[in-house]
Amino acid sequence: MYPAAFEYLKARSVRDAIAFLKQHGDDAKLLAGGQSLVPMMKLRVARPKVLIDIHRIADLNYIREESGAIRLGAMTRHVQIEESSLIREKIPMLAEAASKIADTQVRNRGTIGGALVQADPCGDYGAVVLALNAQMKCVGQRGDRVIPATDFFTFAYSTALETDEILTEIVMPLPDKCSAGVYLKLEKVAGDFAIASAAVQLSLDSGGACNEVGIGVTGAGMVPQKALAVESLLRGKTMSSALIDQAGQLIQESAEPIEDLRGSAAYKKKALGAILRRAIREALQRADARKPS
Amino acid sequence: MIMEFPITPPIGDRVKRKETLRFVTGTGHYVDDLLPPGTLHAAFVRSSCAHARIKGVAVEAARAMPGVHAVFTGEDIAHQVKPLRVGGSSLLRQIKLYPLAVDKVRYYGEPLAVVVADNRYLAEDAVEAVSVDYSPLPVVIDPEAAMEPGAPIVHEDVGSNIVYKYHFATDGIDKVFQDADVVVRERIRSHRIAACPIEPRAYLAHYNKEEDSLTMWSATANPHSLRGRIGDILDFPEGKIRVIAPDVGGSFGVKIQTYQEELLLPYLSRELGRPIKWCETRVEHMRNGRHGRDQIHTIEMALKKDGTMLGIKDKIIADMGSTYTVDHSIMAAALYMTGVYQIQNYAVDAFGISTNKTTHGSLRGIGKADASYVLERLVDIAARELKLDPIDIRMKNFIPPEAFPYRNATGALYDSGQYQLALKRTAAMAGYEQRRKEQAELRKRGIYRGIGVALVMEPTSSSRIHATGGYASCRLRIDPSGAVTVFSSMGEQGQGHETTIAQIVASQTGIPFDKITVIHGDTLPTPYGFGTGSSRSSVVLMPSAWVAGKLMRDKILGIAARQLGVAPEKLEIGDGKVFVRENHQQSIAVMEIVRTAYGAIHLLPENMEPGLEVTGYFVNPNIDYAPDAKGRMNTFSSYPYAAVIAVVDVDVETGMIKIVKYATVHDCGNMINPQIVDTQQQGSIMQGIGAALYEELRYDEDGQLLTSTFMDYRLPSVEEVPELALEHIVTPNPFTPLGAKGAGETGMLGPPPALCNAVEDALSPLGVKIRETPLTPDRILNLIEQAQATSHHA
Ligand SMILES: Cc1cc2nc3c(=O)[nH]c(=O)nc-3n(C[C@H](O)[C@H](O)[C@H](O)COP(=O)(O)OP(=O)(O)OC[C@H]3O[C@@H](n4cnc5c(N)ncnc54)[C@H](O)[C@@H]3O)c2cc1C
Repeated sequence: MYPAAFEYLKARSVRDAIAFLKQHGDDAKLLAGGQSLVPMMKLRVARPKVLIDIHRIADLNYIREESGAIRLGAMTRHVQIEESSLIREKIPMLAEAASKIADTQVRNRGTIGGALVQADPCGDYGAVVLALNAQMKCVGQRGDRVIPATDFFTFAYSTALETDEILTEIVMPLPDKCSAGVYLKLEKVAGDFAIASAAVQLSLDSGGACNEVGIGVTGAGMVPQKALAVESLLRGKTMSSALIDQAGQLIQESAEPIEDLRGSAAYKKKALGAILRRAIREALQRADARKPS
Repeated sequence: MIMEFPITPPIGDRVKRKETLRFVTGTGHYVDDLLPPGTLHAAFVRSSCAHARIKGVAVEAARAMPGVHAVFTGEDIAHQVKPLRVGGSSLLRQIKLYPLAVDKVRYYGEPLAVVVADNRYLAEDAVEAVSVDYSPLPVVIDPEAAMEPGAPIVHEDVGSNIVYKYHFATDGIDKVFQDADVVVRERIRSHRIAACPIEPRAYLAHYNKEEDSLTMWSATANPHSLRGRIGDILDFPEGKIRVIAPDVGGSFGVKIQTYQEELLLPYLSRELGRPIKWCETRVEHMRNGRHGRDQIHTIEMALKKDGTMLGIKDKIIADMGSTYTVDHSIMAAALYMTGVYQIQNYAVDAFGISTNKTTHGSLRGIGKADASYVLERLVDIAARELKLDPIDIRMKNFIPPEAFPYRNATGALYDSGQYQLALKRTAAMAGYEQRRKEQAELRKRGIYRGIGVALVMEPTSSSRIHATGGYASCRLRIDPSGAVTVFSSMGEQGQGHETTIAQIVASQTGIPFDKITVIHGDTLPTPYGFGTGSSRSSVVLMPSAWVAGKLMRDKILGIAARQLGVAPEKLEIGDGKVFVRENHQQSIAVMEIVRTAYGAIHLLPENMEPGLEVTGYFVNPNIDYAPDAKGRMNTFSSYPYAAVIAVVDVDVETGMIKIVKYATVHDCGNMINPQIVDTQQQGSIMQGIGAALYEELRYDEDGQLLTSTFMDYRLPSVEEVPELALEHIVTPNPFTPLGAKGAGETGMLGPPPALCNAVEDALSPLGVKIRETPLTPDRILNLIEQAQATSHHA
């Protein structure tokens, strides 16, 4: 648990960080909460020559509601998200996901930006940003750009971000007023990475048919996935047990989970089917209370 | 000898632990907190193969790295030190174990070279610069495969991987099986786990050239034995070695043994003339700390139709890993397979197998956990076969209270017990009858609830032939200032000795508990004794404190008697005074007696030595040091036990298990401090839950350990603590003056059988049979599927 030698640079602004990145190129790594990077450095799996610390840039730490969206600075910590009354009220599934990450110590330091860029195939935020069609705002030497969540995750531990780009903001469009969401996670012990998880946001019309629906899952493959086929299966339909079972079946068939110590691929498929069914049921219950009469 | 129990407070009180404050405020002192001036740091080059010949180790590049003082290979030191002696019984084949692997590596992670540098970072950098030329050998991971002819041999000089064999059979065992109404058979495996103390191993060796002496700070549970071993392998006079175990962050058995790195550091310090430090990382600990369990039992039980148990035959295959040093795990299992039942017909063939896995060793419940797990599973299997309630079959066969002390088939002498009462109480606490009704209701709603029963027994305080575990000692001193200090032969790693020893001495001498300081873990001031393991403290150490307290009391009363002109029997100690029981006014201050003992010795009774210093010894009771003509002997001296009823819900869609209730009644005899016993049980139960549900050390075919971080080896946390109902019954141990039995391990034995029995019970409508653990969700869903496939076939 002794990292290889590295140089430490503290960025006071995003511009600082961009300049450092330009100067050190591939030798450098951004340091956010350090909850993924530092353990890997201690195991000497990661050995950056230069660490650019961005986690104290105040401009990157905020949660606010603005023009129909919740905007989160990339350096907002898991604990802030978990405890934010704004998020609990407007996007409960995000607070639920944050609260399920690791333990208090990790949540006190880890950031949403770091977690998304880390792109752990079993991480918790991936399903949420996909369910809600979030936008990732990035800044680089060549300027700013916005990457939709659906294009963000490219492979296990890889994203569409260039090595000289910084993720600065996550924009979550506010779901419809009468919509409800839930995040459910299946884990071996509390705080472990997910075996499978599902984020489901949906609303019902006055007749009880599914109106708007967004679903993201983890545990279906190398990256978190937007369950497009399940979304279209449910959209416009009146909910029934058979339909929910069909949704579970659908995700199970398309999933290609990674086999690891948390379970075989065959097991994880079944687990994913079960967790999705439960998440849909729970979301339905919550949406039912909000549906227009 | 059957003891009386003259136990007075504060023995038996829930006294707050003396050591708690420094631990919870972070002011304890561990090896890693020490840094004598000039300290250098060691880092190890570890084998990346599980089995290979070492063709060459290139160290030049590492030697040239900045801050590096020295690099040694196994070859460099093999001729400078003697190999470590292997312990255990004469049945265990001897191997030569050097501090660094020579010629050959036998498990993944085995240390084969060491770098010493200015700091650990530079040392680790240099480790990366060492290149090792291996010639890989075929790897053997599975103990049964290792027994096959033609299997790769781990120790060529032994010539076989079967490094230990034990056979025992009572007369007429075969006849019992011929005459039985029913015989149930099963193959049951206990899987490999790690103890995971919060502090991994840590060592600091300081050789002083001018004095030609050595001080070794070690996170050890066995300082006196370690001192002897260092002297032995370095050929260094033991009298010039001082071993100090400062605060130690948990042992659970793994720190009672001596390790390769532990013996190397003193050598390095002597060679380099500087203090040398090494603190193990978690990854190193998972790969190199001793592992536990890992036994395969092929066991059968003969019964009558009515459930009467007649006999047991077992074959045990115990995976001892590579550089094995002890055989306790196999012995402890082989001698106790009849458990808490009246079964006098027994036969066992036990084999200890060497494989290319990490060395196996002591771990809370060593061997006994395997035995109770296998037996309590088998009893449930028999109950199901005979359509008997799991409680009824146990009640029918328990050794009854009037049969104690009870000698089992292998000669073990159980001190005392009330098994029926314990299980009856547990059933009441768990609401057993009601739970069965509730279970039937829930099943109709598709909820799979199960109830698991177990009664586990934990032989404690072992003493083996040629081992020093047969006694413990405490030296008690009141110095001229009146300060009271106890020097304990055994250290502590969380057991609370600083508190319990003080309670005993306070009770004996009347000196207030708060005034008593306990010193332990340092070989210089403390009297000789074996380490803290096998739950021996309450059985041998505490009685030695009791003896010391009594000797001191007698001395104080003797001095007072002369000064007051009254017979000692008429005196009492209390409130800092010795007074006449009939007339409290007639008294003398204890401080006055202290002054007399040191400064007015002409006032001492005739023939009494000056000073106030006494040493109490206590000999482990009932230990046999040689088998009888039939091979029977008793090697443990007390037999605590616990009844358990676990209630679980199994989620048949995800395979997840939720413990709805865990009820247990525990009996460790008289409790010196019930608060400490409770917390020992709670921690121990959680460790058992971890073993049953979450934890497993897994190797791939090449012998690489796949679970070397806490990301892969998941421990339960506070969030997994179930609703726990814990009570005690007290059946005093008749063979110790305090009536106490071991209290550190029993809790851990309960969850594996109780939870497996509960899960099997929950899934009985589906016909699921559990043969392997841990009960991971993956495994549970698989079992359900298999059961469904077979039932569809039928
Ligand atoms: C014990 C433990 C358990 C965990 N369990 C879970 C879990 O259950 N679920 C879960 O989702 N996560 C889990 N995590 C991971 C945790 O969420 C981390 O906080 C997260 O993965 C990384 O966030 P960080 O802020 O710590 O980033 P860091 O570790 O500092 O950085 C991670 C990576 O992202 C890069 N990076 C960071 N910020 C930016 C940015 N703004 N722009 C570009 N690149 C950036 C870094 O260079 C680095 O490569 C766990 C971690 C630990 C230690």
